[in-house]
Amino acid sequence: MEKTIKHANRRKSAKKIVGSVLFYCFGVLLSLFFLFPVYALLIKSVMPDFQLYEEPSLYPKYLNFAPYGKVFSPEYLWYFRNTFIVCVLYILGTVLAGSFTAYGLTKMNFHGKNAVFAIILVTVFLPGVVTGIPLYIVYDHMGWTGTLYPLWVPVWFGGGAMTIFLIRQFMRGIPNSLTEAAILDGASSFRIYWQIILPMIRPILIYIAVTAFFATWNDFQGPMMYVGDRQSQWTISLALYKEFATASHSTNLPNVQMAAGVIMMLPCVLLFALFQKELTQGIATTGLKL
Amino acid sequence: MKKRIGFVVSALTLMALSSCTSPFEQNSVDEDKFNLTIAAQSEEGEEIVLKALADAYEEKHPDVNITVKTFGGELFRNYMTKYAANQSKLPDMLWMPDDQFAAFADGGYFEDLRPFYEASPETSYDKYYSSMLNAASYIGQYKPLSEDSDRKYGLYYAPRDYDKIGIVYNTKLFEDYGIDVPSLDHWDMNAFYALCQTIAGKLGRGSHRVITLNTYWEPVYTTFFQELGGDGLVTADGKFNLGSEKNRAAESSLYDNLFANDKMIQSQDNDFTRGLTFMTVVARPLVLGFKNKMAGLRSDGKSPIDFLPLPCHSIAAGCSGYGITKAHSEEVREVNGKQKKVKDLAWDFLKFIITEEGQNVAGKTGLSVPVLKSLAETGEWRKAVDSSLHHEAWLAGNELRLTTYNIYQPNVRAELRELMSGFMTNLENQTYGRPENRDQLISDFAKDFNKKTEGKLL
Amino acid sequence: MELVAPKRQNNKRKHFFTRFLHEAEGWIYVLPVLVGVVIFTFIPMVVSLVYSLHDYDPTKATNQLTNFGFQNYVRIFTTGWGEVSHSLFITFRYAIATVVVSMVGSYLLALFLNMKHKGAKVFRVIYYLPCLIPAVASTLLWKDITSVNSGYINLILEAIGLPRYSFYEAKSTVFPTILMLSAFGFGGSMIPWLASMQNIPKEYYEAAEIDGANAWQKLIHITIPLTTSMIFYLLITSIISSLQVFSAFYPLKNGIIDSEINFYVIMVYDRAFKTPNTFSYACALSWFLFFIIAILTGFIFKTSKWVYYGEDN
Repeated sequence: MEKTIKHANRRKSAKKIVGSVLFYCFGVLLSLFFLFPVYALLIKSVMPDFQLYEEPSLYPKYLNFAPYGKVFSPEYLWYFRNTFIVCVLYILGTVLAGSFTAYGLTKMNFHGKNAVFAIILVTVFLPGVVTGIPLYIVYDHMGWTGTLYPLWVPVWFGGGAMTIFLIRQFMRGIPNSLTEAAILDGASSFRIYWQIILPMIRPILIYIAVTAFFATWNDFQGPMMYVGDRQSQWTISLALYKEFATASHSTNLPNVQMAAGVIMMLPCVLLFALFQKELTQGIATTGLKL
Repeated sequence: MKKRIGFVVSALTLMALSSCTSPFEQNSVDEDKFNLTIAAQSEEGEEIVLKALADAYEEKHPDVNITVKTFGGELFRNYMTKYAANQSKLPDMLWMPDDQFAAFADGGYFEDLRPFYEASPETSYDKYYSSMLNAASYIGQYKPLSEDSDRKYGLYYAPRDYDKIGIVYNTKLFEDYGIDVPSLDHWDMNAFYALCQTIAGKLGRGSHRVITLNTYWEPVYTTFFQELGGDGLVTADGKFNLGSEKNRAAESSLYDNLFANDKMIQSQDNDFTRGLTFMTVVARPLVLGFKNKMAGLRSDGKSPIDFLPLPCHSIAAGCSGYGITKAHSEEVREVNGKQKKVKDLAWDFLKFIITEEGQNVAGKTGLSVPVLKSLAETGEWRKAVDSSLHHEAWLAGNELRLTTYNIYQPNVRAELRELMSGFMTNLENQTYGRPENRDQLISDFAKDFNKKTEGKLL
Repeated sequence: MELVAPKRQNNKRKHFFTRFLHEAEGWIYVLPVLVGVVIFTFIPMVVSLVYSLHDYDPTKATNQLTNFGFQNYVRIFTTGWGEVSHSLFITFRYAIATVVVSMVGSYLLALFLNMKHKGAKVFRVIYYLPCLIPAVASTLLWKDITSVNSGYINLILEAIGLPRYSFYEAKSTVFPTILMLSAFGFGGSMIPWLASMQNIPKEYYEAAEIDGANAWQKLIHITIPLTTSMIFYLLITSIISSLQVFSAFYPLKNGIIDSEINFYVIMVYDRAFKTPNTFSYACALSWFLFFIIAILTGFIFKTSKWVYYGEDN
């Protein structure tokens, strides 16, 4: 008996080792695939100037870090301030307003609830292109053009349809038995929202916060539309776009353009690495083991 | 987890707080001076030129303060569309390109500048290239006030430059491959074909190509078709005419001598600045950008680029300039008891721009050829990029007026341009190859064009 | 258990009042979003609708709105139909193809990374990296990488003996290129899958093991059914956003492949800003798209009985 168990165990661990090896081989292969564009970006950014004129090659003759110095000027610190304001306020807005609204749509009951959800969904259908001009006119009348307000204030009104939709999906997964228990204990709806539901959906909130950061950090079209002509209100993304990406005949060499891209990427990579666990965790339903 | 968030937040706040005051002068209205606002696109050096002009003007007129605004990343017509609903926000003066302003001029946004031109001998019409003055009129032709009782032939902006297309070539590639720069004695289409074919013959497997011809661009195909004997792309009664015998002969000449050889054409613009293409056809304003981007090409101090004229008798040219918006033109601004109308303030600046002093300031930036004829040989613009280069290439040939840009009925020309651009691009890329295929394509285009423009022409 | 007969009237009022408060409470939660929708969506929508029912000409300084009528909508189905139908075709083809490819591909990737091995976390970060390349750099980068003469991909292809591929520079290869390059986004799309998969209680898998299920059966009977709520969400949002794709492809226009990337929103943008006198037509076109998307989503929702939400719903 013992012999067969030992054999079975050895076979099991052999299987495991083979499984692991396969896993890592495949994983590394895929890594090469996914790293390719990043490699291209990095390598282009450190190409020496003269090599840009020759036949393309995957290996720079030497590493040239000069382009990174050319990206910034003192104004960028101020652009960073603007970007910071927009990002932080936007993230707060989407997380708070989105969860607030989704809570109302899932855990509260009132007539017309489905109609409201339908209305919210409908806002997503609109191609942004042509409401862009009328929206610009609306902001103009409110005096918001030329300021940073259009970039973050609207999201405080509800948090954005996609966010609401996503949080709603997760909130519906929270059993009503929990909330009913709390009501019996005398908690108000807001307390339930703030102290029970929010912590439970923390992973998805982090996901939303992080993706919201990526979106606002990289967004240059919004700022271009509303503050494009007021340099003191530019965000970093817009400044880099105007400096490096417009005008195919701008005076900047491709390696500087790529360097700008790499720099823009760094905070996002850092953030992702830091919050990686939360981004992939599911909702904890530990309160439910009955 | 809290630690991580705390780290991130404090790092960010620290960085954000470290910049307490805006490094941007708040460009607010100066109470002691006459204030003018002017906007231009920031691409292609427009911002540089405008700022240089504004600074020079302010030095001469210390009682005027000109605020330069820019819009980048969007076209002039997008900019105008945005402001169409809120015209009071338009600046006093606006930069305008010749290919997008016509409809707006027709719509009444800009002042007719002819009374100003005619009021002073310094700015009389004969001092400027007439093709440029025509370009600045929305109907494609201007007439002095005395000859125009209907007010149909107005001038809606003051052209600032005279930008003919020309050939820019890569001196290093020419040297490396042992190609002689052709003499201009018998410089015609056949000589041009011969040059291209010589170069193509020397190319091996690599990525080098002969020329970025940009034939999809209106000035280029108009010039070539004219030179090769074409008889106009639209007939007098508004039908698509690419299928005519003469036009077919012209496009076949281009195809057989150039496009058919797949070493000839490179359609990606930046391959020239990368040193992979021998020549390119562009207008003058782009030259400065080339020079900067290709600065690292040669290490012996000689210029990486030089110029050749197009091998044609008449060469198309375009221009941009500045106009006065009607939104504010009748307002009166008051400083220290003196009152001036915005119209007059604006014209004073415009006058500076289009007379010798301003033209030289613009020329110094190296971005354009002056529209003032007297500066053709002697102006600052020759010294700007590199005075040893063949700047006369940009003045070669007769004036060829581009009538397809601005006419009274924009609709037709937009379709024409789109079709021609599509056709020429595909021709360059040999997508349609044999003449029979092109026959079919042209007749399809003709049907399409005629259907879309039915009843649209005057 | 009441001993005295209740005073009916008072109870009714009380009952009504508490119900009213209860309703009002719910409405408070959705008040911000409704206000936002009115100001930032509804009003611009109405303005755009008004424009679409007139001939709006921004090139005229005065008298910009003329000719009230349905001419723009009629135009969609008559003179414009050639372009509109072609655009709808390529947009839907793109949306369906990318959504299917992307959902399947990233689902598989998520399954792969969901396996309990030590390196999975590192791989997750690595696979996500391409999604982090900012838009500012990525369009330039991809144009560069896929360039026929000077791009890295073709360099590699040549090095291993394969012919050069024209990617974005020839009409016939544009669509396959788009599909192929969308693979680089799988690292990002797999995140919601991972979250959803890890939400599945381990007990289910353990129970299945005891019952002797193999990996395939575990997938079909546990993993897929329990992630349907995420599938549903991603299906709707991916299709809707694919139908509105714009800024990823607009900079790629180069005259040759334009008809292959004339997606609906790109067409609308050109009609609004490029061709003169078609701004109202563009507004009508966007309302047309709006209706299409609304009907489509309504249909998907109505037939969403297959979605599993959790133990309760």
